[in-house]
Amino acid sequence: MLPKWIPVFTLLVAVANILGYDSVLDDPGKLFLEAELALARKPGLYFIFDLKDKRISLKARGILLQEWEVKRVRYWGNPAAVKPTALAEKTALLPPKRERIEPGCSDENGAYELKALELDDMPSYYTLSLTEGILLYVRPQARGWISSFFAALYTLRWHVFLPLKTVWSSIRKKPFASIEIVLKDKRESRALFWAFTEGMPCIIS
Amino acid sequence: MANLSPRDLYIVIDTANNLLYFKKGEHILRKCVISCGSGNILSEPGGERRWIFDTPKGEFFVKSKLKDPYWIKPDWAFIEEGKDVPKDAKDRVEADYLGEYALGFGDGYFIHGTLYTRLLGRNVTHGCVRVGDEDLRELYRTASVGTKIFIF
Repeated sequence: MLPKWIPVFTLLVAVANILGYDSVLDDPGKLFLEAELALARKPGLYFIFDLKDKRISLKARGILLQEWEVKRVRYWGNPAAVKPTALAEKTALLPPKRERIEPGCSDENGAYELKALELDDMPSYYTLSLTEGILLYVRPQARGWISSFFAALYTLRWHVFLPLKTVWSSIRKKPFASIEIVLKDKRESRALFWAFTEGMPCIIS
Repeated sequence: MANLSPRDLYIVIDTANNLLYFKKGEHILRKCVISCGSGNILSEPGGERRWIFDTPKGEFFVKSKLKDPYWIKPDWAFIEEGKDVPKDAKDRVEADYLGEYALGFGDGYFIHGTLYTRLLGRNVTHGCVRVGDEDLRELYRTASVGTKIFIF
């Protein structure tokens, strides 16, 4: 005999999946160009998440500085309106940790073991929380059994946790949207974590 | 959008991969291996001051061009070495440390030369951008005060 909550839970997850999965973003068109122009006029860097063309661009003054190819993308909840938002927080299971320098122990000529925060220290699985309440789940393509395991955890979260979160957000009348972005490999994923800093503006289209 | 982009040469610094590009429009004129900030933290023993050795990210421009620059060592340099911070400003001056040239881009940050060329390509600095001798010469020759620098 199954516990009574299991069918209810399954139904809830199924309904939420149907309602929230794979929303289609509006065609950005003119709105998108105006939004980018507003960012390009100001000094500083900004990101464009062009998810329809599967590209992430880091730009300044309209100049392309770096580009990432998106291998796969899927959406949950309300799609983002095309307007500038910003990165509020980056979170990861194993966030990078800065080394502390012990005064009097440094040796600038490099004879010591190099301690630095470098690209390889960045996480490749992480969440980017934007100021508009949008969550971007970023990960590399699964290669090998460890990354396949993490990818499976992401899939589980996508189909179980996020539907429930969507229902909970609807009850609380707080809009919720999340986007899963799969990049080519770990290096690409780490480079995005490195380059996208808190407070940096971005546009999702 | 094109009107907003720099028309002259500009510099792009990729701190993750320790690369510097001279660019004009979409074209890369030169690519250099550099060293950027280590991201390490130094705290003053018994004090409240703390330094994070990151290369700043964002949009900057060349504010000064120096030949045979001297390094005026800041407090953190002495604290890191476990030495007392000198009271006399003369004791802060160090020659032959920054290479032949230095380009300042604000708040004490410079693009300069290095004695430790074997560390180029690694994140080892206190926030400045270290460049190899030949690239530094070319950078000094080509960049002007006002040249845009984009760091990410």
